[in-house]
Amino acid sequence: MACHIQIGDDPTLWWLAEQIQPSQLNQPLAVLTWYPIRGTLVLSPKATNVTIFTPPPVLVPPPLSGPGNLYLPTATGPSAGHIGYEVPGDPAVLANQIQALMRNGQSQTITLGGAGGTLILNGATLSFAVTGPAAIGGATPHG
Amino acid sequence: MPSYIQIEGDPAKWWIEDQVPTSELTGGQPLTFTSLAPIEGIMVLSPRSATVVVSNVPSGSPQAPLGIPGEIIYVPTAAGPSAGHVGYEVAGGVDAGSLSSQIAAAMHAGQRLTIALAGGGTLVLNGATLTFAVLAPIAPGRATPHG
Repeated sequence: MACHIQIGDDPTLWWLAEQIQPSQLNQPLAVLTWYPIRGTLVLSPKATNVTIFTPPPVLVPPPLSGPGNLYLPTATGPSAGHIGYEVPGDPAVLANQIQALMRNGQSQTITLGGAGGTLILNGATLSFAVTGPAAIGGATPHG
Repeated sequence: MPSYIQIEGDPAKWWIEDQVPTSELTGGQPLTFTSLAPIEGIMVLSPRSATVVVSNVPSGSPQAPLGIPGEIIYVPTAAGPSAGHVGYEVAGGVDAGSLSSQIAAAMHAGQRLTIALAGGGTLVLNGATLTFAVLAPIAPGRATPHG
């Protein structure tokens, strides 16, 4: 059964493909998310607070679209055209890397695509990340 | 003298009933205060908060507290509490005093605490990273009107 979760002070209500239990939160968790970004949500055990809701039986809205395949927590949440950073490579591999960073508490430097830049992820403090949308059903070409 | 505190990551100015014992803020133990505004309730402050600012105000008083729909728990947000956004409503029968003790214990031990929410949800708090929480009302049946 699906569930909704809200993490830390990011206002987004994430629609997950499966129910998660509080007992699962003691290690990094990767779970498919349907909305607002279709992809993989990687949740850290260090997240300050996680709220889990059982959703009403309604259809999942269409996910947001736009450039970007790595969403990191913000005070406003994702929106159309602002769904995160553009990271070259396979989002599924990136999700695995982030999960490993959270597990060992290490940092990783990532060169961004798009407008360029460098992203430094700190696995010791990052509460969650969402990679996608190519993590589900293979890569989605764009551009 | 009135005082308020501001805590890492949340913009709200929390007015405290009593003088904040600043010497105890570095004591390594969770502290419990009575908060007057923006939510009238019990504040539990973690010793792990990266920054806490205590401001003593020569004069003045806090604004009226926000209305709450029932027994609620507020945890830090980037926007702070506001009318209609005062946190999560906890399942019935939960006493704020008891819950504040459980949260303080979770902060002290760095452990998780699972809280049942009204409507069937579940809130999982991480005592190792939670900076503070506010429980209201202080006593059952004292919810302030809202709307």
